Amino acid sequence: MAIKITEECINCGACEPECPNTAIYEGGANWKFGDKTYGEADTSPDGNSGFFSNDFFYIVPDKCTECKGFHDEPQCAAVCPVDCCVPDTDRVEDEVTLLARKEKLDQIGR
Amino acid sequence: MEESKQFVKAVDQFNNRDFFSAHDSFEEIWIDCRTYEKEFLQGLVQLSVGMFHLISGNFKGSASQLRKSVEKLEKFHREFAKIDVFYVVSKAKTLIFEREDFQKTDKIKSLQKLTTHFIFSIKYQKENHYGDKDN
Repeated sequence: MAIKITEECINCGACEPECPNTAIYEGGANWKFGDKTYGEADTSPDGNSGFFSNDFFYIVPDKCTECKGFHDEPQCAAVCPVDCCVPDTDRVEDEVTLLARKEKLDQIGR
Repeated sequence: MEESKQFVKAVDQFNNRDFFSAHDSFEEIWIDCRTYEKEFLQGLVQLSVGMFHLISGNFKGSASQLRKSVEKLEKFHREFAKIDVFYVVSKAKTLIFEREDFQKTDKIKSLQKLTTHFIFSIKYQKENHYGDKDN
């Protein structure tokens, strides 16, 4: 499953540079996927919505692979001082799916 | 750890209700810590963040952080790193449970009343190795 950032976030920004997929964005900032830019009102190419936040850092599900293919554990969760990067139970995915996403991101860019 | 200037600074920031700065200061020590004290420091980071969320009106985030803080701090002695851990944990628990109760019964309607009622300090013993009080 993808990782999400809860309302416990203190906006320290520790997670953002650790993400190998550049899936983490500051609250209110537009996000990129391939060569396109998306905003708050946009549904993602994979049909995800509701993940955008104006208040806290947020993770784009289409770009999160839980660090599969890069690290043994999600790096955002590993560095978060307040433990607010947690599995998103609404977006459960298996390892095959996550690795396929990594392959896709490798091809189209992050 | 407890005698480092950074640690004392963090405690002072917390007690001056500058919870965001306190979280930052505790976090700086936490990042570099490689001993069993790391979990204690994270507990203090989360305590500070819990209080910051509380005074910011983010009650859900506050409660989650305070619970995580209590889980970590409770693993340590009643007094650890010159801090009265028992007192801190007791106050945090009171805050978690009473706040929920107050919100349910709507006894406290304003954020100001809520924070005034629940703000507490970290009791820190400013003594050196010889038992003398520091200035």
